[in-house]
Amino acid sequence: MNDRRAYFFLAAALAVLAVQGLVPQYRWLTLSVAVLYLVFALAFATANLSARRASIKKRQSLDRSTS
Amino acid sequence: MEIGAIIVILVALAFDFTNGFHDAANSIATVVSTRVLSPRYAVIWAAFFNFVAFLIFSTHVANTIAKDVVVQEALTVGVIFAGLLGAIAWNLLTFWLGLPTSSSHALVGGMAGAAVVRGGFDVLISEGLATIGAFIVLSPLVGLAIGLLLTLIIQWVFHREKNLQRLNKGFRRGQLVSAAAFSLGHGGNDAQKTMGIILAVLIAVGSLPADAEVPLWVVLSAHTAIALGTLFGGWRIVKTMGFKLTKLQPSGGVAAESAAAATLFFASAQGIPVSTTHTITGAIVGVGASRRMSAVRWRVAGRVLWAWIFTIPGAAIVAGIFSLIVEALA
Repeated sequence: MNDRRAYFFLAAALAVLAVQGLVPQYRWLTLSVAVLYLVFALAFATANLSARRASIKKRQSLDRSTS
Repeated sequence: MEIGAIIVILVALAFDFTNGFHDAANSIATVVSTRVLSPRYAVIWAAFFNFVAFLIFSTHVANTIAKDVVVQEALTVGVIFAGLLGAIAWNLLTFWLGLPTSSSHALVGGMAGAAVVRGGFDVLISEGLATIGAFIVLSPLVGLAIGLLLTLIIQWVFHREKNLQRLNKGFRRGQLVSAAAFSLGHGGNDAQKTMGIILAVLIAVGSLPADAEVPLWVVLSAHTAIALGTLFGGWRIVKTMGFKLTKLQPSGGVAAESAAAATLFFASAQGIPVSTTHTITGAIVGVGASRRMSAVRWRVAGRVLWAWIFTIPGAAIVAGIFSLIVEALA
């Protein structure tokens, strides 16, 4: 997980959860936004992993064809 | 009505004007940066929708400012005056520095600081301040989340569209609607803060009972002041918001303004005073983050963040000093 967006959205989710106690009447809002940020974090992290995996495969196939 | 109250009401309207001057620039930053409207037409567009916002929103935010920040017994005309002067001084300082800080939080900080100097920390209403404090964090983060979500939806829906010129043309038209919605949200939330101040003054001098609603003349005068402020809006902050934070395309402008407008509509309906500046900044960062993190100029965003953190304590300290001066002169 080295797409910095994943870390950023993880931090944003934690920030939303941190202020949740101040506004218990808006728990539905804070929870929905926190979940949305976690989904973003997961999506960016996995998209980055997939891209890296694809690039490793491509490099391996290139290595095989040249050797 | 006593002369002191009239002076405070006039200063409150002047604050509303500076709020329009300082904050309303946000309404037009994205429209101007994507070159949908020229700066001149953009301010007229925003000012019109600032004004007509009173037809849509009720006055919950005004009631919060007047009744949920400081206990009413502590809200004398002198305290309100000092709070306003503190907020105006803070606004002018950050305007001079070109920082997009929040006029709303300057006002809340100013009122709280001026009241604390006179009556101690017991005069503050912790529940009201906790909600306002929580939404300092939540409003930009909600704006950011919606901004990113809308951008991803737009990208997903239009990813097969080959004619980019036609697509951009459509979004440029769409930006007129989203900018209007954001200006409505801005007028609806920010003008009500001035209404809250005037309501507090009218209650303090006994012109209205403690449970009174905002009179129509107060609503109209507050919306007129903010709309005039928008017409004379400042360009230093427009540049920071629209050009420096991230580069926006028309589709990004639509997403950012719609996200910020949705957040402001929600806050106004719930009676929560939030910063239009925080909200649109969060939404713009959300749009920029959909591309890559380096699309957002983090040094500018960081400078904005520090200005936000210092707004309430900074305005409170300045207003506290004004409160001591007003008390000494009275």
